[in-house]
Amino acid sequence: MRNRIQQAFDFVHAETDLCQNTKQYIAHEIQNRDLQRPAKRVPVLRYAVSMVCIVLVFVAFSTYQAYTTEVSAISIDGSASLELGINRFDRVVRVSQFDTMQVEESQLLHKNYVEAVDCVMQQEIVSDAANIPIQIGVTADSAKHGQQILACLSTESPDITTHAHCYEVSPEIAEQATQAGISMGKYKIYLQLQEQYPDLALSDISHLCMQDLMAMLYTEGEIPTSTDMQCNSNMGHHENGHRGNGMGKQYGKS
Amino acid sequence: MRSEEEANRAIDLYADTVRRIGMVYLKSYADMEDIFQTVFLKYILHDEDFLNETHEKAWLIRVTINACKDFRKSFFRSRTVSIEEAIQQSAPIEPEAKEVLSAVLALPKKYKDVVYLHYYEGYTAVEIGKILGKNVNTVYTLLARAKKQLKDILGGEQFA
Repeated sequence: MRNRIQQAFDFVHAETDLCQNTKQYIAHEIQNRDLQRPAKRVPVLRYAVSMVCIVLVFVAFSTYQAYTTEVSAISIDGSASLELGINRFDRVVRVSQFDTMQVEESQLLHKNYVEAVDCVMQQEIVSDAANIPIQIGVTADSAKHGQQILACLSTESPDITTHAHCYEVSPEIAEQATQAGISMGKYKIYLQLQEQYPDLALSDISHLCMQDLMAMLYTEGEIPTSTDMQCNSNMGHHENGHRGNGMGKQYGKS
Repeated sequence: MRSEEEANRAIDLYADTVRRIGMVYLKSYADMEDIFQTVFLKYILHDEDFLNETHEKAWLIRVTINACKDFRKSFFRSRTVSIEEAIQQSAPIEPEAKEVLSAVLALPKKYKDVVYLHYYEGYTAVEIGKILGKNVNTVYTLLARAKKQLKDILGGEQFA
């Protein structure tokens, strides 16, 4: 049965005209539907807006990163110590205070470093005492940049010229000072003191103000104790000078 | 929507199949032409990909059968013509083949499609059930009854 039915149906073919007419009809339909179909709008504006947004976000993020990244630091050590982090735009982005003294950070943040240092110099709590100038240490990402900062500070601020001593601190010492948790200036003096007193520990001098350390450095003798020192706890009462009373630890003396 | 090239390929490949199903269901060449165009129009509008040619052919057969059924229900279909005319409208056919075709087309509507799909296209009862949306057992029953009727019409021995 299958063969006979197959043979019978094999005689049935789609007529050439039928196929041709259908092809023409389909071609016509495709053309009509293509014409009716709205041209695909390329969402150029949407892409452009997206791209602009991405670029803006990227620029904003990069700018923020660049602004908040410190490339140099200035340590100001007087009767109290504080450190300013400076970004590549010469603006203060960090204020670290190492003593109980409180300088309003808002007065310093985002200022040019010369203005910020000037502002700190005006504070009584870091003023020079006992004729020992305020110590201003500078560390930077490159020696050239460090020299530039030092030159700026020396030339652009009369207060600095008359009441401060500026010096450069190597990045290694700055790093060690950060790890030790004291200002760069104090750490540098600590290293110098260690040459005189090899057993001197950081804890022995961490409570001392810069002027006491300077006095120690230049007048070999005993290390003042915290009770002797008034400049850390009572800012503004250090005019008398602090050299210790002989009750402190004796370094380098038997 | 499919391209004109795809449509032309499908027409070249499946025109005979659509034409044969059209002949099974319809008796007017004008109706046949309408169905022919409708089926291939649906083909170009069908966006989903086919797994292979078998899948594509089964889809076209199902669409053709549904289109024919819908067309037969339509009030606007052309006047019907006799089976003889329907066969005559096709290419010249040998007398024996003509006799078999006449016998198939003379079967009740419900038998004609299963006979064509089973004996000509070679689909199993299960596959026919899927294409026509019928129970497999129903397909077996329809095939058995169609075979018996064909034997009666065309002579028992040759259809044994």
